[in-house]
Amino acid sequence: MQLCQDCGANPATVHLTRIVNETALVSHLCEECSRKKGLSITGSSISITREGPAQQEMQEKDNVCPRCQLSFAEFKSKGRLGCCDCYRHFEKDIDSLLMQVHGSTVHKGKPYRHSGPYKLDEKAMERLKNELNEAIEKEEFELAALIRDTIHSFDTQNARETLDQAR
Amino acid sequence: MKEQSAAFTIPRWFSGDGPDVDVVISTRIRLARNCARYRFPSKSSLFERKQVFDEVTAAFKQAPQYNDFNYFNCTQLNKIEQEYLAEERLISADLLSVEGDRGVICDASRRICVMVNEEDHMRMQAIDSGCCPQDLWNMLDGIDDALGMQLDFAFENRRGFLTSCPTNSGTGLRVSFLMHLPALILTKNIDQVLLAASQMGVATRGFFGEHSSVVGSFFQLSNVAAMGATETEFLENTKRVMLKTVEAERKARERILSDAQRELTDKIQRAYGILTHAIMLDVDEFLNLSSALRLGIECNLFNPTTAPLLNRLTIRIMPAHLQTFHKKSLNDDELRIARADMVKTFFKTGNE
Repeated sequence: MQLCQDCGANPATVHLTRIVNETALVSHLCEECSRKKGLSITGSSISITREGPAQQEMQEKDNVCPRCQLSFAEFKSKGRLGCCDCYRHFEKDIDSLLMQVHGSTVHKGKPYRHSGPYKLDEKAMERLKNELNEAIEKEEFELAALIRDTIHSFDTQNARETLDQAR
Repeated sequence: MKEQSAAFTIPRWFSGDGPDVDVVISTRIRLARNCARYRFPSKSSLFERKQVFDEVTAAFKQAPQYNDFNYFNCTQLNKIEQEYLAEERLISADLLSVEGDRGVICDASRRICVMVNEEDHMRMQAIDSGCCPQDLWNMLDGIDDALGMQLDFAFENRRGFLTSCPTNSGTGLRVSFLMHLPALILTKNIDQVLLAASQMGVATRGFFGEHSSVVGSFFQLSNVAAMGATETEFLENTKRVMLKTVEAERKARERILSDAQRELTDKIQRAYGILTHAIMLDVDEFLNLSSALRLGIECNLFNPTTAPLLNRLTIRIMPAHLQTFHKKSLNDDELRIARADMVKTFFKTGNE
């Protein structure tokens, strides 16, 4: 059984083919991750989108990380990201790169807990995760996505708030 | 902890007394880490670099177990002193060309060091002689925990530790083994062995690291992926491939000894002849010739007491080490002459 290449946890049920510069890019996602990307199709399906090379280049130049001003075109030429926010800003492109290099987009090594004051404490995080599992079991996928996003937003928020405090 | 101007010793990783050291010269593990509140070095301002440098050194001061560590700030060192640290593998050559506060924090034996403001805010490294990944990982894991308590690392639950280049993100781990594989080259089996390694997710580099060519039959084997498995799994997989390579090299040495002992002895004695009589020597030439002597020692065809000598020489004949020894800057020709002189004296007296 093929697993979702985004979360690596659920079975991939949505198979997306994109044609970019005459090359087919195939992604295999689970329902949850496909919903997150705005693809609300259930079951196996193929959707094809076309992006011309010129259009893509323009997008890469204009698309700039708000924190460090790095454009994706600059990243492609230098191979270095400008800050940790780039990972979220260029999420799709970076995840496909991670997949190529590591064969995974999910960290399985040692965990790390910020010692900053804005971190959700472990108990609260645990509770959210339990709620998430419960929602998945009951097949309440919309609720599950909401909880998942909440968990994710705590990561984002923590980083932002620490940053603001530092400034 | 105090700032050092220059402290010159032979680093322990080149002592030549670890497990499997007949093939594995040294083991090195590094972790890449960044502070969430500052932009990565490629986009950070001089002010941010100073902040990072100060925060990392302050974090070390907070941890009593690392009291005897020293730090070097490259802005306080001249070019030769910086190159000297690079030859000891305490810092990378890339660090020399960056601006602003940057440098390295290390222990006296040079086994553990943390390079600051290179590609990532921190590159923690543990290095020692022979094959010893587990010991090194335990040390590094401890340093990572201690610094992680003081600093706010860039980390996401899903993607793990975030690094300047996505090829390192996840665990931020790279383990590399510096290996001496002359017999695999002589028996022309090297391509096959390295191809098998690459199929197991292990990449090969030259003696001087990334993008360097093969010299002196030295190869560095290291993991490619850093995400999708645990640190221990990456260590174990790379070690497994490394041990297979060790086995292949030892077999090749046996084969040469039984099939072509006279030819090998000839090669070793010729190398010894040039090393003890040359007037000018390049670094690459020295490494290639001393590789033959190393193989001779391992095959019992050459005086074994020269083994520790060769290790010392290998670092002593590097440009910045030579210039420090002579206490003046030397041009390329003067370096070649000084190198040949030092090698000759070494073989005659066992000393510089």
